[in-house]
Amino acid sequence: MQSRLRCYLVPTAFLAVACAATPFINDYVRYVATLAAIWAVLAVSFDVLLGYTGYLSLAHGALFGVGAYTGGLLTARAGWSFWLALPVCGLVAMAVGIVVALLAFRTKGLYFAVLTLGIGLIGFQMFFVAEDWTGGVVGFVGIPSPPPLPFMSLDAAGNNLVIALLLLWVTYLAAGVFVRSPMGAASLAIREDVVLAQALGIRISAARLTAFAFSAFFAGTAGMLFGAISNFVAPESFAVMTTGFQMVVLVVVGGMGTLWGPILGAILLTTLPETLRVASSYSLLAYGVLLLVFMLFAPKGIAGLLKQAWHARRARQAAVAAPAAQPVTEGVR
Amino acid sequence: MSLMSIRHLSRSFGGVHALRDVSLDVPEGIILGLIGPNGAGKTTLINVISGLIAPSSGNLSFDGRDNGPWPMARAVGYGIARTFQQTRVFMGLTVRENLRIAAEAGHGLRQDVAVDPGLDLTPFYDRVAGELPYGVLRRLGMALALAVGPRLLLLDEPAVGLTADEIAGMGRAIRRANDSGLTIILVEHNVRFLMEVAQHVAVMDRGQLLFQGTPAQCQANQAVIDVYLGKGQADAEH
Repeated sequence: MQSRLRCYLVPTAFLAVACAATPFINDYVRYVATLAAIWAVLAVSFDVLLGYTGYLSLAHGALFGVGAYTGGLLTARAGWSFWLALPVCGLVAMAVGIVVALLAFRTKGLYFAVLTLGIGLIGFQMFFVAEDWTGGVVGFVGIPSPPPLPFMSLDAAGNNLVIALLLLWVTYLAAGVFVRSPMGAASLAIREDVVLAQALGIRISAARLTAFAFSAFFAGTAGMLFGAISNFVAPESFAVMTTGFQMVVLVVVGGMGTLWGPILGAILLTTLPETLRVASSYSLLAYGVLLLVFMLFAPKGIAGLLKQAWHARRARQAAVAAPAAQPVTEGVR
Repeated sequence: MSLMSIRHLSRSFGGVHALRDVSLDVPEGIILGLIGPNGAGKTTLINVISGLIAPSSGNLSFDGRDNGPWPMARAVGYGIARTFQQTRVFMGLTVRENLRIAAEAGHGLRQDVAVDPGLDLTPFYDRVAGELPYGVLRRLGMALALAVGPRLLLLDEPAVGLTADEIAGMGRAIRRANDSGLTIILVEHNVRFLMEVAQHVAVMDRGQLLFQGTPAQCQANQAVIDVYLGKGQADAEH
């Protein structure tokens, strides 16, 4: 019960600290932090799919775009309020995601990745082709910024950051509820051994479809918020090789199947290029190298390294405190 | 009263007849031992009953419902659980997570499920399954099948590769599960172990059912001796 409570309190404490710090940082840091939070929303929700069910989707960059363009259409053209459009964009991306999933889950493993890659490419091209809706190559201009939050007197950059943090907080809590539910347990079972999962009576298709729909929903909301803070979206933001690939990198580098690891991945990989002033043309190269290094030397990502360090420290403390009480087994790895 | 009836079940893989016209009744509450040489069709029979593969012909009924063959999802829904010859557990997860998944998957089948029914898994709860010794993994595989709360449990060679002590422990766990009302079909190469545990024995050879009876009847049956030791060799070896 206590650990269950902690699942809600810890992220809430982080949210409170980050919001309290917002007035004291400059607009540039706020902007970078906002982008990091949006990437973290993508990474956490993508982890539910990649980390928990083990399915690698390359269509999620396009689903992020569906959310962004839907947001533009609803707020700039139809005049909807931001707060109504945000969940609706999630639902639209989720609906598209479910269609994608129904197609893609007919395959598995490499074939699943390749099929979703195809869908991601089609989606990317559609953003160019459907000019009437998306503005085509010129982009969708004039998306209104998120409205100021009540009870907080912040300028636009601060307001954007707090809204992004709120979305991240909601995403993280929802992802936690999902992975602790029987559906989350079923997802893990699918990742580990599909045949055994079936033999135990786990409804494979329901569990993985739910995971896909979940990740698509939050990719859509992240896209909507991204459009609103940028006031502008263009197809380049949703390419497979940038956005779709980057989501994979964030989750792998952060640590698959941990939910909090991908947040670290998003913060690190968004802020590093900014602080190091690396030309953006090199960022894909850097991502590729990072992916390679982590897959080879730390497949459990930053979260895995931190956990390992934590266990090693605990084991050392235990050994010092009670050398006689060591179990016969070889102890923690 | 029989929990499951198998009628005229056949299954071939290409030209190989893995099952030929097998008919068998499984009374409720017994431990049925299934033996036979390699390639006799024991595992194929388990695979058909558990819905992993479909038979070429024939049908099954469970608990009076005359509706098999069934897909795996339906088999589990009826309360048919199984273990695998090659140990199958969720290797990347802890023992606790393994058992939690199985218990949640079987939720609603039966409520009175003991999570660790004499399988001595508690010391390993927080260990990742992939790091555990083989004997523990065999027990975990069985615990997963038990955790879904089945009515019929299919065990495919649970004792293979275990030490004498571990086999004895496995036997106790099987009997305990049976005492709690579970019907069990036990496929096993270790004939001595099987004869000790099973109350009823069925012998298969080349896809056919050769013999059914008590362990004592089985050991006295000439056809069974022929299959196991080869015709004419029984006398030479004893």
